[in-house]
Amino acid sequence: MNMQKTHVVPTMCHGCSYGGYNCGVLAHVRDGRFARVEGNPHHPLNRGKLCAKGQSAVQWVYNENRLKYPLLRKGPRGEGRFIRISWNEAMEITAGNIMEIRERYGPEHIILSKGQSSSWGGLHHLLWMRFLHALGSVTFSNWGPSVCYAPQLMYHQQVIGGPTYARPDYEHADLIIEWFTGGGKGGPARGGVETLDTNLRSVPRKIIERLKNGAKLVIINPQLIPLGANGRAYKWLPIRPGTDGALALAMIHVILKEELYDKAFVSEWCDGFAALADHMKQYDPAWAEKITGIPAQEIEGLARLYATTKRACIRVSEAPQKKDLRSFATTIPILMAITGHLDRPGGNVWFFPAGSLGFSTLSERVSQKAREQVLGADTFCIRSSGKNSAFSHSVINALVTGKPYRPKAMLIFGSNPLSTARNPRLVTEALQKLQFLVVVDVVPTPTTRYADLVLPAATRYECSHQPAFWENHLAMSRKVLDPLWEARDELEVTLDLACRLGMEKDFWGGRYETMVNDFLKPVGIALDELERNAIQGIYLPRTKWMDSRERFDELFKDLPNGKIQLSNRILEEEGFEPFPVYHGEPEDLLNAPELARTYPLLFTDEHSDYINHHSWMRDIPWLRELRKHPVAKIHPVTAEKYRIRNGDWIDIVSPHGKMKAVALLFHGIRPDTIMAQHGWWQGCESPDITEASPLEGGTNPNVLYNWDHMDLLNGDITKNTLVRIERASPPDSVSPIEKGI
Amino acid sequence: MIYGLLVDVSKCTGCKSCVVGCKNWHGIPGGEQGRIRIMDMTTGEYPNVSRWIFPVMCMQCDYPPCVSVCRYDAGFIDTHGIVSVDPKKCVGCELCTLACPYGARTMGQKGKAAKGCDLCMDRVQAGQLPYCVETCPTDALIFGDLDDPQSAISRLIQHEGAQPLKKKFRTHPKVFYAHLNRDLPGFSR
Repeated sequence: MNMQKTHVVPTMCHGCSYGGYNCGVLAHVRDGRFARVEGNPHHPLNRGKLCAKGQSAVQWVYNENRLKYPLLRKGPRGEGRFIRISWNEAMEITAGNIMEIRERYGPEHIILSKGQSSSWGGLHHLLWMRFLHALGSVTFSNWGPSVCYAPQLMYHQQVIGGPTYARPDYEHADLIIEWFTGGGKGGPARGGVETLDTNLRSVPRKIIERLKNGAKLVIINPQLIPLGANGRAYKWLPIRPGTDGALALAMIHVILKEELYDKAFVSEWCDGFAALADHMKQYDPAWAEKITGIPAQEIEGLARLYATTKRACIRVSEAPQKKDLRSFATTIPILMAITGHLDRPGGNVWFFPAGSLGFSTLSERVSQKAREQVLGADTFCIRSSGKNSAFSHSVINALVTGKPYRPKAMLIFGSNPLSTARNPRLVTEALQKLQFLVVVDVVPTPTTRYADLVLPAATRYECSHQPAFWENHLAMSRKVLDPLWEARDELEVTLDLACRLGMEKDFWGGRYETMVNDFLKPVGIALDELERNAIQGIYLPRTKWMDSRERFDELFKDLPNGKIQLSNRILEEEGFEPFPVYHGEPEDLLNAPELARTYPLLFTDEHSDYINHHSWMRDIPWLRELRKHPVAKIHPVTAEKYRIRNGDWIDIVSPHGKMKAVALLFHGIRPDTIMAQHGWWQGCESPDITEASPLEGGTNPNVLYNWDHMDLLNGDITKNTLVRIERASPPDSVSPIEKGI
Repeated sequence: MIYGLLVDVSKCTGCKSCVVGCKNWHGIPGGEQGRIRIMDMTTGEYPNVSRWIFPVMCMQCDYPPCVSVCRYDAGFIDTHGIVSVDPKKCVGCELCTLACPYGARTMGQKGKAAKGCDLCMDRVQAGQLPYCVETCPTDALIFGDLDDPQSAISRLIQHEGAQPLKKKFRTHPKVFYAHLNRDLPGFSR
């Protein structure tokens, strides 16, 4: 009989990010080989469950497609020819270039960029900020958040304060409005719910449990998302993508007209009510019907239902991605506020953790001069947040035009802007202007083609202890197996680099465990104590504050006069209207009737779904076999008009570019709307699929949008345009990068 | 003790955790047909559309066509009612895969023995639940003893009026579906 030795390592999932607080995983190791995973039943986030991405861990780790060795560029940028070098050579080249550029041009010429892969605010994020600051630069640039979480949050905080979004308190809600706005994430992924993964805070389960107890679910979305399937949706309101602001404004109109608002709350906690009421008179449901495509009586019904249901919450997509973000993102919090649904059970509440982890990022090391020179320093969002980072739009423009100056070096950790940023053509132009580009990633991406140096990152399963914290639970990921090939933990790489740059004093002498202990210090728990509680993790006592509600004094304290800004003074000071004014997206059926003659269909794309995350994980056989090619959802009546059959490759052509996708005929989508998917480029070994271009004519929806159509205050870029469609050939394949020997 | 499975469709979001989880647990390689698949269909005309999403797997029939069609006596029903294949007798003729009205009988590699869901008997005998049941993020799958009228599954079948799919084939499945649209073309009747 085969005597197999199996042991189980409690760790955390890599599926949604590798630095963050993710689902608990029990990794089974058989004879030294990572054999399979199961959910950790003691982890409060997933209680033993795992999603499809998490289940695929083994195929993610043992993937022949991974980057295996440090690679140095051989041919011209973009061509993808590299030769293998040693880690020592790679680190010497990197340190040498950083040192030289910093001394010759100044620290602001060094850009650091990261993506969702290492999560936000965790150990990786803090270490990289510290590294950048220790060099004297604040040129941190990222592509995701500048169109995702941050822009909408900025408006929410201007109107209703608080540290984050006011999130839905699903567990106590009697009405749940899932408002995926036809732009941004939260499509079928995650049960149509914007969370970091399928299980995070067990959101789909919580919603379903409430529905079993009689709660109602309303889906506002151009498509009928899976959460609204199987008889769960009380209403599906198929809205034209990009017009959500008009719907929200008309709801407020009805609520004010019918006096359904919370009079006590408004008089005690809101400023500017009378003026707002006057302003809202223009936005009646008949007006909104023409824009949104939702019948006026449905809008009235929804407004009444929301205002009169005491425990009602709204989940908006975290990434509405609009040029006219201001009207939408300031209206939603007003809607929650005047109906008295803020920070009350079953409404939209603020979640406060019982503590936080971290060490100083040494931001005091950055000179005022370097801050003033950060790219995008004059934009509202960078200015108002203390010039702590660069504005990605300005970084790309500066690289392309050399104005106000052309930065020289960029370090990219786990980010693939060629696929995820708008205007990939411009991004390639920008990357080619760099003197020195390093990309650290697990797999080769379109972005690595433009790098001078490509470094192989280890997956989370190959990295040492990384603690992470959520609410009051402290958990840790652990090493399941040693790094494969010559992959290395990015944290170790960063410490190594810092030491080679002579900064070992600021980087714990390069000692990993000392760094982790420092990271844990704020909660007073040592690494070995956490190590002893491997499966359960450690719970900090819940604070009374976490579990109380109606914390209005504290939540609104930073707002002018300590009150909710129904009339927004911050916007007024910036020279904008103090009230939400609906403009709509520049390229839609009403705003661009001329364009609509040639491009008659509305277009937007959806982000991650159950089987992918952002622009990665298409090379995992178990996932790729479930969907071989990116799809575009089309209503069968529309498809027939263009003689498109289910499964046909089609061209989707906007005034700005062309992409390809496979037609998926779907009765649950508006007939005037096409929805494609973001993040597809990768090839796969099994099923055998070759890589597609992220540029014009490939499979990337980012080529279709006008990237100059952005919100004036924070640069949120539109995710709406007009398109025409036609049957077409499959995309040309791109040859994989040559990894040398 | 006769084991069965219940799919509470009202809880299923079609997340494919069971589909990939089954492959993860049993080490079924990519490219090989899995034991669970997700149906995703709509009824009605826009905008009055309903969408139905649910998993389909081996139905553990009392009268399994995959067993009766087997000419090598490889297919059998074990003492717990689980439809199984004896790999020593199976010659890999694939006839059973054609006979199954649910498309649930699968082949391993070509020419090797047929395979199917055994409700994770190794786990069940060790006191655990089948992996798909354990891992379902919304607890949409319920496993239990159909012989015991007090078991959770028996009570749910009774109270929720759960029915097998494609009853017209009269194979008497031991997998039941609760809250599924009664008029779903091809499935409900």
